[in-house]
Amino acid sequence: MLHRKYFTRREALKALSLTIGIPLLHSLSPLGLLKNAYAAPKSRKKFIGCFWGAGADMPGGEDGDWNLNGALKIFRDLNLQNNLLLLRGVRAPLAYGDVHWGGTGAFMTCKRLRSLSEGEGTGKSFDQMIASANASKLGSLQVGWQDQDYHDSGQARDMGLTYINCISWKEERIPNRNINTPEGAFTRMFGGGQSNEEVKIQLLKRKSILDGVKQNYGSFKSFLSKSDEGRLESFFTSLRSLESELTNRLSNEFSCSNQPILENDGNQYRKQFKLYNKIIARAMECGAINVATVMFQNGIGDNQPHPEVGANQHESSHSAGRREASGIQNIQKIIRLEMECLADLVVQLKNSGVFSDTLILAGSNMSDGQNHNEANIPLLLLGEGSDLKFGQELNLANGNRGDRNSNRRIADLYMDLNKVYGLNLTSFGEGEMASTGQSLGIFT
Amino acid sequence: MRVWFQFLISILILLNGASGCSNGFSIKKNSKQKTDQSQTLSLDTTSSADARALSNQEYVWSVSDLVGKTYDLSLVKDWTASTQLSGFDSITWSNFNDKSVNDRLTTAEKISEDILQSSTVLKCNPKSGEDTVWEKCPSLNLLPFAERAFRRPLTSTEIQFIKKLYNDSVLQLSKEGLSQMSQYNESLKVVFSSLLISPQFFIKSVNSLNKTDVLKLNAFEVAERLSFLLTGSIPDEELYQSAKNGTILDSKVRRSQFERILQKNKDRFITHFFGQLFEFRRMNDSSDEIKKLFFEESKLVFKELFFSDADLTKYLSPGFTFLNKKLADHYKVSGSFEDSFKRVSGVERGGVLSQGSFLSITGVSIKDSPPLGQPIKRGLWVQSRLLCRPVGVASFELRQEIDRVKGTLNPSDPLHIRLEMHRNAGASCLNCHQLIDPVGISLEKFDEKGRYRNFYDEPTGGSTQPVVTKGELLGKTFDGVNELSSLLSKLTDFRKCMGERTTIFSLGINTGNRDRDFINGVSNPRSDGKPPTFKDILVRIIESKNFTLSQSEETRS
Repeated sequence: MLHRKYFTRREALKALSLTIGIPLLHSLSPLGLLKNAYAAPKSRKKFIGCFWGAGADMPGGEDGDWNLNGALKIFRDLNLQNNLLLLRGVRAPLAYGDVHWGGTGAFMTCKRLRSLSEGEGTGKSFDQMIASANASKLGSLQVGWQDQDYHDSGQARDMGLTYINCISWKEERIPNRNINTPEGAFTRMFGGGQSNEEVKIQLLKRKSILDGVKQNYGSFKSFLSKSDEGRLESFFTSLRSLESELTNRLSNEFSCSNQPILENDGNQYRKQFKLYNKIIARAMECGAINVATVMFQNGIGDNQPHPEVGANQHESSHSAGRREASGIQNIQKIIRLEMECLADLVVQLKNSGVFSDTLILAGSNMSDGQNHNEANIPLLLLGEGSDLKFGQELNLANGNRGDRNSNRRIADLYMDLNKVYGLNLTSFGEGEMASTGQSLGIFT
Repeated sequence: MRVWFQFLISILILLNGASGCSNGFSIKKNSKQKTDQSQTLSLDTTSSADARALSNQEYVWSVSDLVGKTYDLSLVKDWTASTQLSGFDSITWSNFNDKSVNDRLTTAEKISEDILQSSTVLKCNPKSGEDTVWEKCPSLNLLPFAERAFRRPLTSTEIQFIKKLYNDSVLQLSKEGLSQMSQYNESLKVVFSSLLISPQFFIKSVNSLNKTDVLKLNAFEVAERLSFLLTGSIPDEELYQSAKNGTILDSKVRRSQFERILQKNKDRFITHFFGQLFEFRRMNDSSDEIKKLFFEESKLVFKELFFSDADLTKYLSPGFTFLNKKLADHYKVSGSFEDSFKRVSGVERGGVLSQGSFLSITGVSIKDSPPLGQPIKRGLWVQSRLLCRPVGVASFELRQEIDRVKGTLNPSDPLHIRLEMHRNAGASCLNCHQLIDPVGISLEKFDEKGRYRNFYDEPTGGSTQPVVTKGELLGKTFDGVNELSSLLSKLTDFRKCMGERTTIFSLGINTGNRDRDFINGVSNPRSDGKPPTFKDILVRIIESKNFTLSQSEETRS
């Protein structure tokens, strides 16, 4: 295992002096065999999963631009390098033949994707396990840029678009789809800006509406076949969830005084995500949510020209585009912009005083889009504390990082993080995507 | 040596028959095949249809027809995109989640505001407080709306629910100090919103009530199926009456309703069906003005072809198109044009493969990417959308092989040479690309925006190169879009594919091997041996027994 350090010498010595015993033991041990020897990680309640599709500039699964001098330079510029743990040699879950689908839909579930005929679904995602264990007033928030709303020719006819537009699954059959506008995210977290009296009337009406729907659903249910009844349960579950949110709002137990200002920001990518960051940070600060997901791009990597780069992310990261200097420059620009938005999220969480209670996991569904390489995906953990190896780079591959067979499974990372959140999981994922029982060694 | 190599390739192609790239084309005549046999087709040849939620577009059209106000897709702009199957979002099943229910709630609240201004819906306006009691205006306004939204008579339980919801809301709002008229208006909005979020409204094609193998649809369900097929919306009054009196179960009545509804909804049908079948609907969502012109061109061409009963082959080679000045300039077609579209004959335009909509959907800019990708993308589209032979997902190992082969190509070689070298690099490449590349190459005289070109505008390796469009498929050589279209239109696979995709669209099923007989039946040539029209295919489907039946998913396995 290689440990490349971004600490200054002084910082590194200081950190070592705090935790010298156990890391030494670990450095002498074969990978994971002494996993029980780690210090108990610091407990956290908040989690943010970040994702973009189509990988980064990582030719053949090698580093390429994916380092602190390239795509991650912004973390150094903002003095956040010691909040960053860079993981190499971890492979995306190949839950379906096309890693665009499998590596996105199963990114946080590590379970097979069911076809539309089977009834779309995978498993409960890791973020939602945390949301269940750390209940909040509004559950969680999912935000993104834009959905892929059509199948390209040649793509699987029976595979739903949900899998490339969503990384969070509330339950096996209930995806948490993204809100794609800051206005929508703001309203969901803080309401529509009406007076208290107006809000009260609106909430009462909404509760009545949902009561009516529930009654209608009850009478409609008997008309359904067993399979359709099962599918429509997701509708009823969501109704109850929405009703519970309304009850929370009506009870006046929850209010956010420090709301961000919703600027009229047009559709500029950078502004949109920075506004999301503020909304998430403030919503976490006032206890509305403990969990969020941010999709900087859908699992395809967007087939539209990027608004601030002018090039198409998917084409720039893929096949012919990747061979051209212009294509490589474009994908570098796009990824650097996405990392700028990610770094800003850290800044906002710090400003809101919730970063010490939060871990951010950020990654993609592939490394090199050129050949859909699911090995050595770009993967980051962001947080603070001395319990995780922040400020370091871990190469976890047992050989060539670009070869999936030498890579570790991402499910093992979730099993490690399970200790941070006290989820008491005994395993994660299924089949070849399942956890192996061996720690990745991310703890000091 | 060359003969042995070709023999080896032939064997590999045969062995590959089960994959997505098998060469199973046939151009044989089908004059001896039975025609118009849909009436005799039995249900066990079809796959099941699941309960479907309205797609976003169907929701918009349905509420427009319910409320009597024209909404567009901006009404649902924040909604999650509809899931698609075989290119059609009319057979969607999306899992519901907190966001989708919340989106529906917010949208329903907006619509309920409009309903209070709608003379289509509100038949009774209270003149005094007495008129706001349930038996007066509320029931007169709410119950007919609910019946129309649910596409069937309400059950007594549903009527009681609606009444209770209205009365409970009035009671609650009275406690909040609202005036009697405000209580009435706000409670109406509560009930209208509730109805628009109820599954009875947004779910269609409900399956087996009794969990039996086969469900005979009732008259209301048959009317609903016909209406959503032709208009993407709820039945109109006349169709609903034919459901009420049960006559819609008679295939002759269905046929006459089919003709009537089509005549009444020409533009919507063309956008709904052909817009998805050939994907040109996507052009209308664009902010790019030229794409909106592509949309208009496609709509006008398919409208004329469909309503003039043109056979399937004409959709590839109609011999005409519709252009206005801006589009003619874009295509570099000379002549006298104005802002309005006019019919133009004798141009190399108008067919599915020479319309701006298809060419831009499958176009790849040289600026974004070298042109190798464009012919492959276009070839894949034709395989998937016109021949129903989607190419499978390339494995990681195959992608590595593709990458390796691409690395050996000389970028200064002409495109068709590079593609040929790529194709012949090994059997794993040849199997698929022998069917993909020639199709794409023959369309290279159209750039990614559908403009005509004789040379590649930008150097591909040092110098501007002429465009070559000669290809060979199934032992036949061809050059350019006209000869390609002519070849494709003669393929049995094209005819069957159009039959299959129309079946998927009409019945909402995910077709499989068990549907072969039905698909053959609906796509057979006419009794005079000529290829069928799309109307022939649709009529065969709606007159079939299958159109009045459904199967539960439990029977699929």
